[in-house]
Amino acid sequence: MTKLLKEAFTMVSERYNSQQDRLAYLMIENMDRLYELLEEEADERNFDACVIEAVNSKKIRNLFGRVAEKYTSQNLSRD
Amino acid sequence: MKRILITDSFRRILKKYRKHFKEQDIVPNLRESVRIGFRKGESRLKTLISEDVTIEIVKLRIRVRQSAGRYLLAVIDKNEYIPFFIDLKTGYYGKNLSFETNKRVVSMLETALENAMTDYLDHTEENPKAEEYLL
Repeated sequence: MTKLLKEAFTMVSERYNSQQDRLAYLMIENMDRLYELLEEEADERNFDACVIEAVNSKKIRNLFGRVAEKYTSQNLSRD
Repeated sequence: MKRILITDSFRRILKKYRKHFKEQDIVPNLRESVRIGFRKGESRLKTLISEDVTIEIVKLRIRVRQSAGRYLLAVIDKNEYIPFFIDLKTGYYGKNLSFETNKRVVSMLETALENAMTDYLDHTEENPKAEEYLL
């Protein structure tokens, strides 16, 4: 067990001090849901990394340069 | 003047999810998010500065009746809000996308962003490429 996971268990067991056994049963019975949460979180991180990679592409950076120019000239003409 | 721009290219993506989300759902959701700030699972993924203009890439959540989704937008100088991609939560977020390789997801996102920004650049009063909503 990692140090962080131990800390998490300590935190949770302190918070639900009087209901530790119920909490343990709940975790065992809902293992599939925990796994789903884990997958969802991993997918979300993966998606965020994909977004950042897409934004960092040269094509998009160049496009942003033109977008910034249009935005600035639009604002200047409004003033 | 703060505004939301729903580009023609984002509309095409939205069309795929028309059973779940409509343009009329996105606009109030976005307005609410600007008013109250980020909610759970929402974040600013990237900030870029170009020619003294700040462009942020933001991820927001939307829930309409039984449907939940996430969408991405480019925010220019906190004035122009341009959504460019949306996907649906089916079981867990991005299940549809998880069947794709990362390379394909990156390419899909790049194309969506490119199309939305091109619509922004081409958009004029005479030749509109986006619907404008005041914030």
